[in-house]
Amino acid sequence: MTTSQTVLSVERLKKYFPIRRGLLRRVVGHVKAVDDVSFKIDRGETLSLVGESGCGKTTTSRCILRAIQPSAGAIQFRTNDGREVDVAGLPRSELRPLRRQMQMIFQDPYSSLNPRMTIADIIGEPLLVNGVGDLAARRKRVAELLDVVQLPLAYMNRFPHAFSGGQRQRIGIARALALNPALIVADEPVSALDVSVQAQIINLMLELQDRLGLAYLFVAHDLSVVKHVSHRVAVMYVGRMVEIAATATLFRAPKHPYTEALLSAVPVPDPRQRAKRIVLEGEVADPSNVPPGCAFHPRCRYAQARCKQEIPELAPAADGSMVACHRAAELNLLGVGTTS
Amino acid sequence: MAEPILSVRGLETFFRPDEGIVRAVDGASFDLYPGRTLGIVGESGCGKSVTARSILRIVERPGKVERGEVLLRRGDGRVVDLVTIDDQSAEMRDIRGGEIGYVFQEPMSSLSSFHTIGNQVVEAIRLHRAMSAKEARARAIELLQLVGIPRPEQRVDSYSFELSGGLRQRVMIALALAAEPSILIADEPTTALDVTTQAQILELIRKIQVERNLAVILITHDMGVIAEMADSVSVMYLGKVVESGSVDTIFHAPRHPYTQALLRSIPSVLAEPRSRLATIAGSIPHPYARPPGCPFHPRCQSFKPGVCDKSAPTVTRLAPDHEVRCFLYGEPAEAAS
Repeated sequence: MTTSQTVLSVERLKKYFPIRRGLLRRVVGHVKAVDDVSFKIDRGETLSLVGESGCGKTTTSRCILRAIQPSAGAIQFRTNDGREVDVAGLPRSELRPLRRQMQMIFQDPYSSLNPRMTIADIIGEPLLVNGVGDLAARRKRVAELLDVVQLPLAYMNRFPHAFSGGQRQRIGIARALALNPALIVADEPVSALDVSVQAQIINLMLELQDRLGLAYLFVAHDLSVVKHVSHRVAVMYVGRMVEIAATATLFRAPKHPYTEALLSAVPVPDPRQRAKRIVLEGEVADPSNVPPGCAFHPRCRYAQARCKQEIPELAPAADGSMVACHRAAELNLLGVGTTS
Repeated sequence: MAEPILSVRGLETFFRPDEGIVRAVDGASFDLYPGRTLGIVGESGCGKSVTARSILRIVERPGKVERGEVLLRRGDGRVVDLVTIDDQSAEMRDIRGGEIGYVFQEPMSSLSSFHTIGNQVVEAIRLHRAMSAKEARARAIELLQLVGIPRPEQRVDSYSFELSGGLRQRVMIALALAAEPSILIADEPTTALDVTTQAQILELIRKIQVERNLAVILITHDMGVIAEMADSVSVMYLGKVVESGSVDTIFHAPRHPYTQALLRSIPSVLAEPRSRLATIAGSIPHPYARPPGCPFHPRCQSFKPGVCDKSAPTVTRLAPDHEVRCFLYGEPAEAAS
């Protein structure tokens, strides 16, 4: 069921990377980087993908942008003029018009801006590449965009080296907005920034979303930042989605033991709340050799015999969350902020 | 309380490249006690890492410790000033790694890819302790076990690139502890790690600290980690310790406008979803363009024109263990003129 508000709909997305060995480069196995992931994002909504490194959150976002070709699954994208596009099946030649509507904000504001281009050229490049307007019209649009990201117009002819990390990230955001995209994929957009600057960029992203109705797919590992930006949060573990829920619900009442452990590991900035942590034993499972049954069972405190055999399906819980755990209904897991 | 094991007094470390002078550490003072953790927190360019490197005397040229004292109480009871020791001398090499262990941020680049992790630990042990190769190997396996590496008798022969980030950081901690130091300096030990691995590493540091009565200096930009781990805290901004106190004071009764603003601007898992954050205006100035007077004044909400931009505030003691460097609490020295 896709409503007219849905900007992106991902169904049973898979991305397997083959492992080749030997003289004939025979395929001996697969790294299941993304395995059966489904979700939707509405206009004006932020969905965050969270999980440990190697959980497949970045691979998922790269499939959506078609930076890599998905192995299976459907990716439906609704453009600003209401057309439905099947991103997964689109031939390469038709990707460019699509990418006008899907933009990206990168993690590292230092390496994502060309040091030889002025700010005006960087922000104006998407317009130039897509043949939007003449020089004067592009200049005007760049000026508007600088205003939107709260940078002075006088900066237009400067080069990136003259700017701080926070200012560079504003420039990156202005470039992403140039073509009025419907969806912005932001992969760790604030993790390279200092705390005092990070807050400015988070607020700017929230403001722009409210003003322009943007949909964000926010990929992050910092759950504190995620709480400040998301409407909904999806938790991934070794390529699979284990839980997806409204932000407040997920933090207050997690349904999956992995979500509970993730939340418990986040340091709380208050020395009076030094809680007893659930410290997860062991390491994230190897995605080329996923444990049978629920991939999380070797580290799970609540695992039973069944968890070692059957893969749990993502199923609805009582409060509208979706969770992939055999014991979701009987467990009463601990969230954060439940003490006060 | 017991005698401090390390006292830093008025430490100044400057870099003098051709372009000018960078006061990376500009008058840092603090005490470190056995079994306690001192947290040093601040944003990039505040001088927290250079402070650690100054204590260890491994500041890279053109940087130099210019002034101040770093008083270390050694195992035999003597107190030595590390600033006056030649940084290449046998004594300093003995202290570095021997009495002060250290863990750096990148477990990827701090370990050799050409030697097994066992050989690296053995080297660290034999550098400081007279032990046969066989004894040292047995000791290395014990250390790997101590830091929670599974199957240490096998892992001792693996190479660092065969290990995950969390395991590498555990090896780094084993290396730091090889010669049984009394002080551990950990500079952003968990920054490159996932939260779950971070929780494991912090737990490990805490456990070893209790077992060995280790004094820990924990350097981080993460206020959450500080709240979790530190007993006392020094907040740094552009080379100055702007406020120091017990962890409870710093989080619940901060007095410096920078500490207050920093605490308000950090995202928290306890916040309401989609709530706006308080921000600190502007950004951290470039080290060559350090503002005159109090370095925080261009971003400060309590900025007093003619005072804060004229002279630098000195340290005011608000309580026995609470100090702040701000004109709100101490009279400007010569600003009256």
